Amino acid sequence: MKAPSERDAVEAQTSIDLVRRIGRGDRAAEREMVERYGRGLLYLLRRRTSDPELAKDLRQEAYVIAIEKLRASPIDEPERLGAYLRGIAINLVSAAQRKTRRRATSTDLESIDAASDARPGPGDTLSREQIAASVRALLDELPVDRDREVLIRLYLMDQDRDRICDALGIDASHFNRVLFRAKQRFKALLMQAARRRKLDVVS
Amino acid sequence: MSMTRQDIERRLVVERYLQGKLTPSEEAAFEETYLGDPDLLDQIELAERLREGLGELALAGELPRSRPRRRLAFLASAPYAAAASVLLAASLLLSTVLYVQNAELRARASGEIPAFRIEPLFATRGDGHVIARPDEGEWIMLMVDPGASDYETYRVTVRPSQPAAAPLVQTSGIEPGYEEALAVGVPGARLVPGDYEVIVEGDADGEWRPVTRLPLHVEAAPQSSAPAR
Repeated sequence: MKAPSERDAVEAQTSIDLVRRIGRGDRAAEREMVERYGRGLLYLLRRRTSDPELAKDLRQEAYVIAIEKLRASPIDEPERLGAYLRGIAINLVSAAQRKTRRRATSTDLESIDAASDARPGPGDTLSREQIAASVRALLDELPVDRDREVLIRLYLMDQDRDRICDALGIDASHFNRVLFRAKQRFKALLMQAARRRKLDVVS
Repeated sequence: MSMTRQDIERRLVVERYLQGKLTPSEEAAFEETYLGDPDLLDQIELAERLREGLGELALAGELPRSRPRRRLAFLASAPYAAAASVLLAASLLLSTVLYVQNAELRARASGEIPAFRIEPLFATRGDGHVIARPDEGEWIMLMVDPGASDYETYRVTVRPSQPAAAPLVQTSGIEPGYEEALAVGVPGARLVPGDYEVIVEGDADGEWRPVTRLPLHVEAAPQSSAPAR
């Protein structure tokens, strides 16, 4: 993982470069933008609409609007292409919630979808039962009850860190350690489950 | 403006985002940041899967107890037992409300969790507990108060109150969950209007010992819940 300042600088430079190239009509740059922001945009839209199909439609629409505008003229803050796309997406969600009519578009929507979903997230291919089984395995592996309690209070009861630390008599550094280790282990368990699932499908 | 990775970790931004507790400006900055950052998206989705999995286990009554159970001798006396029951009822009600709110939020976010309703059943409710007939496909999650008993595991049976009626649901090996309640899921389609009883038994080394029997009435009227008949 890059250091924060380096990451920000790279992100800004990539963003400026994409905006410039799309403005020149570079189709490869359009595809790069779709690949770069596709998964995040879909996640944001799914979260805001609670409707996976609508979220996919809105993502396509967001790209169509963004590409048409970027082809026509540069944006004010080219180093913040992510913020620009987010703004379009949120406006589309508001519009969808007002049940406005959908735009007809001429862009290749199927290729946008294909390019946007290149990398699945953790547990994307797993069923709810498989995810629950991974959580069960994680809880079983935690050495002390108090560590399980940290996860349950944080993720199930939506308590904040201070309250959890007070209730369990632990400090913030212990809390952070438990959380970090639990998430690392959970990620490994999800990956194991995904591999097993893949083997089941093949055999 | 985007957030640094250090900020995100130090301020527990991923978890607060999923809890819906970020301020609008924090939320905008965080969304701008994760939009083009697959590693950060992995972290968010990992935390989300953890929430979903814990929710599934809670629904299935498989979560470990929140704290060690302690049996204090003075609680065996009637006045303390009554006071404890009232406190338990109040705290169970509060936790149930929070649980329902969390579950509804998760259901809205994922669109996948089936409809369910949580109904607490307390020994302190007097003549019984009345619930409205569930919708088709809805699940009723009974949170049963086992009173002052102290078994490691329990068996809960839900059956019509007519003599010799077959049980609708019988679940063994239930450990008390949060607030010491026993969680039992009943398919709503099977809870037709009528009188039922919820029988709780404790596991004494393989032998089921009676703990309590709680009356339950399902009425046809479209209301969510009524306190007592």
